[in-house]
Amino acid sequence: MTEGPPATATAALRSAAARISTTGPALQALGSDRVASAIARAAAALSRSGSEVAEDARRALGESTGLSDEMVRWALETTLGPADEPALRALAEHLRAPLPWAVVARARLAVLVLAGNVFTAPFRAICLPLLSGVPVVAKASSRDDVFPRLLSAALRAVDAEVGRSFEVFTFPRGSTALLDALVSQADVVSAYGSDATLAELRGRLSATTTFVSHGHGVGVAYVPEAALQRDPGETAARIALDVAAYDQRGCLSPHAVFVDGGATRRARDFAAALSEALGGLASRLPRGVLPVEMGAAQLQWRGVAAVRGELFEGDGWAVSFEGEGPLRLSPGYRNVSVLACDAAQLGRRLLPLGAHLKALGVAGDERARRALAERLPAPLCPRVSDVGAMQSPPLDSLADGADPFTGLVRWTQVD
Amino acid sequence: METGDARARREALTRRAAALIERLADGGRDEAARDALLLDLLRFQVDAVPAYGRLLSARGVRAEEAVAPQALPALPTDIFRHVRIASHPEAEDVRRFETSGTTGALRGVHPLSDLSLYDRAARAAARHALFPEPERTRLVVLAPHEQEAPASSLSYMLSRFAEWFGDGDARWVMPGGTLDLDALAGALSEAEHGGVPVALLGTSFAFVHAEEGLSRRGADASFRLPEGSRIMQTGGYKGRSREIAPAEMRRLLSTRYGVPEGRVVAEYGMTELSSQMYETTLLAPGEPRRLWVPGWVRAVPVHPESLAPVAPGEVGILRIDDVANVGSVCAVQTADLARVEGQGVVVLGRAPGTTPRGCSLAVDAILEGAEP
Repeated sequence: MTEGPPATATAALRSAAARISTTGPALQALGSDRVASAIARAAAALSRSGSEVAEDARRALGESTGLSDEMVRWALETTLGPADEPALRALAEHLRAPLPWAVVARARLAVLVLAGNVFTAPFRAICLPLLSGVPVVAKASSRDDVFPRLLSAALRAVDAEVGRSFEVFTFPRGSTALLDALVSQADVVSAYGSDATLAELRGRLSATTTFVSHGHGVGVAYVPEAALQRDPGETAARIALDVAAYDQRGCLSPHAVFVDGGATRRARDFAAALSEALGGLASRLPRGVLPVEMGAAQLQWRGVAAVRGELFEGDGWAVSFEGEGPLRLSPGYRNVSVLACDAAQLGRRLLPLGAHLKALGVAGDERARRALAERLPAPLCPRVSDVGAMQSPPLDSLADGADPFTGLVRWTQVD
Repeated sequence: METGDARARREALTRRAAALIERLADGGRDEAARDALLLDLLRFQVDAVPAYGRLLSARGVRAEEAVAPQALPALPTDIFRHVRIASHPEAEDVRRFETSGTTGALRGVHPLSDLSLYDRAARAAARHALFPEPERTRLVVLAPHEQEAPASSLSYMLSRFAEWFGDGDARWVMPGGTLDLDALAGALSEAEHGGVPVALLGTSFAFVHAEEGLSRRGADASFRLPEGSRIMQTGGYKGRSREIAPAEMRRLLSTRYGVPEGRVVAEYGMTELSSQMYETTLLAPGEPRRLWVPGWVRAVPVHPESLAPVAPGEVGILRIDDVANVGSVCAVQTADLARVEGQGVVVLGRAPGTTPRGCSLAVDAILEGAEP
């Protein structure tokens, strides 16, 4: 039998969560404009080039994530850069009552259970409750608490009144008593992690707690024939960025690229172009540290690719081409498959991924993306974006096909 | 279609491998002879096993230029799941060992046209590290018999153990893959009361199931097996039971069956190989546990990208070169993490769940068996 945490630790955590939840009315009284301003200034402090805070942040994040300094900088700039005051105010506008006879009923406390694969992922998850007037606590493991702690400190520095509605608690995975103490105070729990972890957590919540799960996920890119004819080099460069971002560790990261065109030769040539593009990124956005266990998976994946098809391998990346073969997910860390696929077959090829398909990058304009989205069979509901933008969803992006404010607000009907 | 020349080469290499295993069966080492044979084997297999030839082409390596086996890449074990790996025609298969896996998942297949080399290697390693005493012993086996699981290399090996080292009264307590607790308890009680030493052999997850079942039976379901008894556990858990750390597992086994921890031996074997490695527990009592590498096997942790051996004590990915793998490819790249300690190897297992791969984890399982 494993030893649980001391009762005092659980009681202290419960008490801390209760204390933070009491800051809700004050947060709401400050108004969403003030919160938007505070978040925007905190984001700017963390991402502004040359600032001491940003330099310290990058150093700490490089150590905790294993990503290269250049990649950390890119991630901060692409995630925090767009979070300026007007954008955050516009995000808060979503909360206006949809019907004149309804008023907003806010959650008392939101709890976030974080995973460590993409360090900036908590940013939006923290912004949304605060902009909604809902205090938020984040549970992180020691590996993934650096960014939320930096954001917490930056918020407190720019606006202490907003900052006290957000706190981070760090404890190891599997500390169920501590997690129970935290979530027992929450009206909404938003959790990232493995499907098994989320299923287990869901089972421990009260019936009235809203649970928003962000489980296993992958991304896929699609290159229609028109994009191949237009500018295959540019398309390859954009997809290379999607692959390289966060070293392909996120649930939006593409693991495979389906190439249309009715001829496997074109798909093979695109694989070569993608490899070249990844090579071009290797100096601008170098890959970070490859953990040995992921190296083991990489070695297996590349070996199968070399035997079954063609492998384009570089120092820190690889692209496989396996014709029209089955979709075989890579271990990440800049290993990606290119497969030939007729446009009409794309839905069928993606179907095995089900709800786990979280991002579909399409090399085409909005009309092409919409047309493709309309043809996706159930239960597929990924975010369909342009290639090159798969890893930088907008602030108001849907979350796993659902309203990003789910559980943060409800509506009180006034008849 | 195998040519007469290829067949002659394969048969000559088989004879050389058999002679080397025989010569080193008592624990001897001859690295020069081993490596020379491995190099000849790999050069043969580049021609005879198309997938291995393709791997070398992809890596830009020419077999004829290699001066040592480590200059040639090892075949990743995953490839056994996707393409046939054999240096002989399919019509000559006498046995196809398959990796275990979940329903619908692709399984690795290791086809063999001749079991004599496998037998020779398995017998020599087990005689040296698991059954060093000349006396035959009572086997109690927590695995299906080979007749019930003809595709299991473990069941095959354990069935041979019963012939080579058993007292003629082996007890198979996992018929059809389901643990028969009554049969297990009965066999152990009988041995305990009759003073018959036992070799209790099985998979880790079977031992966990036995532990859970026996612990529910209370105090009567613990044993004090006679002196000379031993326990061999093998394999990972593969989601079939809760996982128990190795030291805790040894303690549980020792307590439950009354066998000193110094008589609990872990075996490392793979469907894709023909030789096994055993912990040095019985060979070097009291010394730190590590795997004894038979003299005809080369086991080296390598760097994941340079593929060069890592320094002693550093963690790398285990590459195993096994001269008994004449019929497939003798250089196999496992996915296991390991480090060299002294003359042996310590395997740390696979740990993808602890890596920051995040939400992509386990989606592979969804895709297993999906139609292209």
